[in-house]
Amino acid sequence: MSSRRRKRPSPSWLRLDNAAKIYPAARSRKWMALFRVSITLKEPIDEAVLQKALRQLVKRVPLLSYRLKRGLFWYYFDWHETQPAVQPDARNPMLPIDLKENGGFLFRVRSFDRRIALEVFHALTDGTGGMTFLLTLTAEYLWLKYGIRIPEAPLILDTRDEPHKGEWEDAFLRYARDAVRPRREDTAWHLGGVREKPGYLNITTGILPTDKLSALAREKGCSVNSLMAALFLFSLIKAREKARRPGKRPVKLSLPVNLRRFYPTATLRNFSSYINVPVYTDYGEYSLEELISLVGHTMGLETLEPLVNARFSANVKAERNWLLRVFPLFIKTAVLKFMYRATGESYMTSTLSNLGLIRMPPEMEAHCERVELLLGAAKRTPLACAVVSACGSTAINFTKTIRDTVVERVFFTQLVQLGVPVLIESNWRE
Amino acid sequence: MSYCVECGVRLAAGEPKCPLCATPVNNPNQPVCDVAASSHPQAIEEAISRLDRGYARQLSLVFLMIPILIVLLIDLIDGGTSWSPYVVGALVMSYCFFAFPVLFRFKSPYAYIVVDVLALLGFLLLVAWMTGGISWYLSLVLPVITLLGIMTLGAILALRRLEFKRLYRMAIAAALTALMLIGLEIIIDLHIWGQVRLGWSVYGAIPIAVIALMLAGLEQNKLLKEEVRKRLFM
Repeated sequence: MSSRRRKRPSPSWLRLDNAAKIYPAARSRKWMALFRVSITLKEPIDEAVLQKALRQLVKRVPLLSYRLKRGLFWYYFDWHETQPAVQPDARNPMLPIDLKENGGFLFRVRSFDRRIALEVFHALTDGTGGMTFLLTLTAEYLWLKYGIRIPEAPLILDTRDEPHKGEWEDAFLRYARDAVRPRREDTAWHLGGVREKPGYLNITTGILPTDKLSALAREKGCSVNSLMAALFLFSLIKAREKARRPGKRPVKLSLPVNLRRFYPTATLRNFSSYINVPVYTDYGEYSLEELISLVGHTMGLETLEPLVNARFSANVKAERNWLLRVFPLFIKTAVLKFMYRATGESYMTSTLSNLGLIRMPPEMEAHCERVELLLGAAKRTPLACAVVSACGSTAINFTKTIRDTVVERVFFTQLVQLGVPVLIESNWRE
Repeated sequence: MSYCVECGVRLAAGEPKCPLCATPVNNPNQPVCDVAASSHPQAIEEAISRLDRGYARQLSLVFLMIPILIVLLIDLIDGGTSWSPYVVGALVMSYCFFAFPVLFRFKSPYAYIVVDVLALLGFLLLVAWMTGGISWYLSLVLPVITLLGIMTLGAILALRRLEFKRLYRMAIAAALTALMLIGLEIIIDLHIWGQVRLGWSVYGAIPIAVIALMLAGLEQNKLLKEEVRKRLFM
């Protein structure tokens, strides 16, 4: 903990952003909406230097100094001055953060061997924000360790700059309009399987050469994102065929959409939405090419600005509803928890988050081997997939709370059959 | 570096079998798998085992409010509040007895005793008020329950004073029990006859007081205490 009081660079408290409001309510002792971004360097991490770099990061990004507090009507973020400590990594990462044990911080920085990992509670930020924190931390680490000054770039902040208020704005409120889309959708088919022991998240990582993956996507006439989504849907459909009682519900894949693509903002808080791509398997069998076409067209349609806006504006409208606002927090918590189960998890079979290609400055890329993203798995959606490309390799991470491996096996063997070599790693233990 | 013969994927160092199909790795150049070479640490973190009491408290209050509102509603529809206060009072008292100690954590146990005494007094006051019998409440219920509460607090206080020797603590608790019996009879006598006629409580209090004296004496006499311990150890 720092002994000198530093000047508070941001408001003493913040309202949770529109997307964040549901996460504190939906969390439980066993589950919390976490994601993890990590970077593997070419040399082992010096933990003392990383601790200094973390101190600089917290100074540059005041958003990291907020802790979650309960108001009478809503949760809110309260600024505090303590310093977080780097923690050792574990074989079973992404356990819910005990906010009392963790000094109130809504994130934790962990290190192991050559890897720096950042686990973040989704109430604080989204994947883009998390990646910005991680890359800025890494840039600062490289400066302190090797004296290499990494220039400011997309997803990398200059720690010498002062924080500015655009970084903690709730961009949802700025861009929401009155027109909204109904949120009702078809309930999705859900993946079953043998549950893993509580407190253990199975991780299977596939590492692919990015150039070969891009070449495959070009050959198929689609983007890497569409190819990944189609392959994932293909694998989920195969898993569904093996299910004992698959029922008639569609397989639905949820794809997060970064709203910064549509609206200019410097916010480091949540600013993403999602689209759900349904596949009605009762209508017949789908080839991979047909799924690529379905995903491409659905994404093309659903990511039109008016439709994207109408989707997140529905959430903003709900937040502004006076009837919801007057209820005390404990009633809201129960309602939001129910809503999350009923509308969030019910409408999707799984999630695929693709942060895309991360372009680092050459000075930084020379020291980095790969970047990874891990998503948490929930009760009804026990499997999630995350993709990120950097330093010439693409890391595809499957995280799950079940032991069955059908989905990732189909996914990776398909890639091998299509000519892309895959290196597999896992955190499985006997 | 090994390949899975089933899936065709390359397997990272430290993978004893294919994570996709569980086929064991069979590489003649690397007969023993170096688990330490895994990209994941070996240490496994413990999950949070602590109950979120704040949330449990809120949830329990919601569950308490549901039957209370239903009962009040039915009674109101039925034409008045004739019986619902008894049910509501009993529910609140049960909540204080059973849910309160689990969901509200205090450092000392005295708060739970005070809450239980107040809950019981409150419920009986409600019954007395509903039946028009405030006099028996004031002359009997209030002093009896207050006495029981104070004596229980005193006994717990004595038993928790760890700086006192164990037998002294037990002697104080026994003496308080004897006093409680006498106090109980005094209250009952005053309620029934308007004067004190000590009887049954003395028969109960004397042996308990003797036991208290014996315990205190035993603690004084080290040799005797050691003899008793030698014969009675389990």
